[in-house]
Amino acid sequence: MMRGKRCWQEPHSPEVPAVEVREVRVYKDSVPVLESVSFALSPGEALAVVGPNGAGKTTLLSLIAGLSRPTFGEVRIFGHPPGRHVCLGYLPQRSQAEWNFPATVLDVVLMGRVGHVGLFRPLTSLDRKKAEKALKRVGLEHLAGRRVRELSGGEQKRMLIARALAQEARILLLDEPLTALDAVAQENLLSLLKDLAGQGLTIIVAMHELDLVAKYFPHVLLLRTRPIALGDPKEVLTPEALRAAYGPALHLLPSAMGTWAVGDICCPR
Amino acid sequence: MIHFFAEPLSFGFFVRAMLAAMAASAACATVGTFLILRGMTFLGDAIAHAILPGVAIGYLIHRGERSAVFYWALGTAVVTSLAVGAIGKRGRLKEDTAIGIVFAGMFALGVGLISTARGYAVDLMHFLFGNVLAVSPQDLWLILGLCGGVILVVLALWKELALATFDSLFARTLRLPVDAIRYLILVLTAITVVTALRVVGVALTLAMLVTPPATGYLLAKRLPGMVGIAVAAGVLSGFWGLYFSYYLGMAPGAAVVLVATGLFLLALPFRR
Repeated sequence: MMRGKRCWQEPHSPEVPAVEVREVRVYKDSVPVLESVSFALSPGEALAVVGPNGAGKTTLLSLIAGLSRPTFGEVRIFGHPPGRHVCLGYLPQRSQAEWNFPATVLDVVLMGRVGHVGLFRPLTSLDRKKAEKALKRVGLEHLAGRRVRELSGGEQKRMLIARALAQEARILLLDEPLTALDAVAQENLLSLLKDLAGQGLTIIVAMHELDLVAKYFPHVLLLRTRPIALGDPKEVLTPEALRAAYGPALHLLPSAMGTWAVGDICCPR
Repeated sequence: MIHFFAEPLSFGFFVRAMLAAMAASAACATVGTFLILRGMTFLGDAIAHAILPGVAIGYLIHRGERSAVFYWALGTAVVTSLAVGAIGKRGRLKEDTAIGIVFAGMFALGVGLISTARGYAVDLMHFLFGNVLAVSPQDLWLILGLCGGVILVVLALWKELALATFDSLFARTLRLPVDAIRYLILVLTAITVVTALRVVGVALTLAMLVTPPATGYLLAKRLPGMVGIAVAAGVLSGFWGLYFSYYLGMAPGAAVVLVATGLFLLALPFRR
């Protein structure tokens, strides 16, 4: 069942994108949730997806993760349909993990190896080494023996990223990972993601923190059911585009850097 | 002192009862660990109650033949566990409400069926509170085999069970068959419940599924430790429960559960 199912090890031809979304539409009870979304990301590219609540950010990520299917259009992961590989790490908005589970940080990161090991086989010392290396990459090696329920919010996110790295994920999907993190933890997490993108991981982050997008992401998708804008944040996140996405209730304040900070986000209903 | 331990062991029925109690306790502790971590313990209780009609039909058809009743119990338990799994998936009522209705109804049906037989009171007591002292050699082999099988399955699928229990969404992104794992846990629960039925009966089966794993949860930092402590607490309960039962003239099922509860209370101050 799981045996031998790895991310494609053969060198991918450079023209095959890591993630490709083609004319995706999703309807729930004939109400459009996503319309005409298309983009492609090469390995090592990072994309921020921003937009008001209910804009379809979570739906888009779960499509790419292969947890749901589009009504029309298709999603390709390294040229293949999603759902038949282990090279994708997904951190949902509300983790459904059982945080009172008796496990250490290293135990949880080792769970990332389960898909590689196969049924009825035990984890080996090689898996352990890979898990320890993954912990080091996210800077949590000193917490390897800590119980998971004792972690802070930022440490939890890092641990789950380490689990995706131990899984040898090439694509990371994070749904609003910055909520409930303080400003320092937010910047630390984003610079970690930027480093990982530099190491060749393809990263998609759904987020609300517009002020941080330009600083950490070369690409942004502004979404409100349909794509409002896609491209370099400095060019794309114009007051007009943001108003189109968030509605007139949005307050835009010019900051010292000349970028736009958001005073208030309200859901257009 | 030696005499204290040796005297009851000269009775074959006592040795069989103790082995059956220890085996059932170990299997219950193993499966119960996953039940309490997944918040599914009430399903164990539901299965224990819902198999009574099956037991009753077997009892009425094969009057007096205990091992036949055993197979009826096993069959009903497996069917019930699969039905319970399906109830949770759809329907407008909340899962615990639906299961409450079904298992109380089934339980009433079981009691009703048994009560139609003459002299039912004694036999009903056996189903409700166990009759481990009447375990025959064949029964014992069956119990040992089932309990050993359950524990082997858990060990073989350890990392998948742990992963699906800790983070089922992540397990889904790894393409683990999360629903199949849930059904597997329910079927394993059904099998252990049938063995526990012999030892502590319908009414106290929940304690065997919950109390030793809770003791393990208090004391252990990691899952293997939790299961290890739970199994040890279960086996100790079986062992001491039978001795208390012998020397105090207490019902063995109740004695086993009381020892398990005592061990939990002892562990309480040492939680970590």
